[in-house]
Amino acid sequence: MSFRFADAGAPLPDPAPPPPFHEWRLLADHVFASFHRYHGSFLVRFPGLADFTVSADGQAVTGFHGPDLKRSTLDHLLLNQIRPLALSLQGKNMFHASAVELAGQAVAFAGRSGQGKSTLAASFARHGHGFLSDDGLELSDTPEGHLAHPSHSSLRLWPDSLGQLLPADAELADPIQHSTKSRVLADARMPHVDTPLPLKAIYVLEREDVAEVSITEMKPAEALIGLVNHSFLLNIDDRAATARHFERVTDLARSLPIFRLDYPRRYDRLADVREAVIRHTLQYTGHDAARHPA
Amino acid sequence: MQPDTRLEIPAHVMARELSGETVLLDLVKGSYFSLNGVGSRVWTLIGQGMALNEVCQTLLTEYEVPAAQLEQDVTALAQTLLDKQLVQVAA
Repeated sequence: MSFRFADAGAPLPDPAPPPPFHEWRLLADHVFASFHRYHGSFLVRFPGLADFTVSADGQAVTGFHGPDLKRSTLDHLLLNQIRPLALSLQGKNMFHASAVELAGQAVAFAGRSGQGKSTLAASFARHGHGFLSDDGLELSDTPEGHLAHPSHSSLRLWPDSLGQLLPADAELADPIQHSTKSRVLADARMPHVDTPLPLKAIYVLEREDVAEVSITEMKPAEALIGLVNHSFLLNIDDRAATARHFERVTDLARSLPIFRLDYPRRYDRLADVREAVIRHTLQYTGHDAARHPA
Repeated sequence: MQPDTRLEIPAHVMARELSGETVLLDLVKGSYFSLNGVGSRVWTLIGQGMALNEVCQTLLTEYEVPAAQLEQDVTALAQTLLDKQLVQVAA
């Protein structure tokens, strides 16, 4: 994938795109991103922040931004939003999921924004299970099974998670302008795994109004819908591409163990969540859970 | 909808069966719909070109259920699928 930024302040070649075919809203009245067809490409507009054009094949991305936008914000938008969407256009399986290493394999945590993907990944990483990705997880099929691919070596965390999970001197990237989240750079205390690992299981993060951690197997049809709902898909109007994605996700739902993970979203219960996930995952690998402390 | 109504599956709807359940994808809307075991069977029989009364006759040989209840359930499911444009009345 090639990427370049236009000169700061440079306008879009055509500043009047057609109406959006899709929007992401943080609140009912706040559009975080709008998606437009744009001269054979796609335009992803983050109102007040930046515009990105993405070629139809997902291979070329150009960023347009005002003179006041910080590089850290552009990097954030590029890495966490645009890159997964562009990779989905390349036919890759991209999911709203984080992933961590466990006994030499990967487990993924899929969920909507704010469900705890990054917090769980950081919590595991802080206890020796390096993270592959905090969102925008790429999964691929190989003759040996499904692989989870690493993305960038940083995690986005809310301020309260920072204080609870990280040492005071953890290295942070420059602040992001549109969010109170911070981007934390991986280090020896919060390691990043930079090689693909076989994916062992997917945990879909669901209910938080529970007193205890519980893990239940999802029926394949339910898992399929869950995975589709947590997919990055930019070109949803492309029926052939959507059909191919549906096929690939169906294969995932048939061949991978997929579970619902319900747990109270409390920092003092994260150790319980880690312990439950580790014990549960290792049942499938035949490893001794005692050798992989939570 | 009449008992001899035949429905057909439009080209924009994909269906995949997983462990006895069926997930339908509407490629136009990007929406999903799940059918349980009996619903999956109804879907399969509709896909084979059966009229609704033929679907019911077949199911009566497979499930122990009162005919009137079955006809009501099959008609309701067919109407739901029709309303969601996951099937259309065959020409």
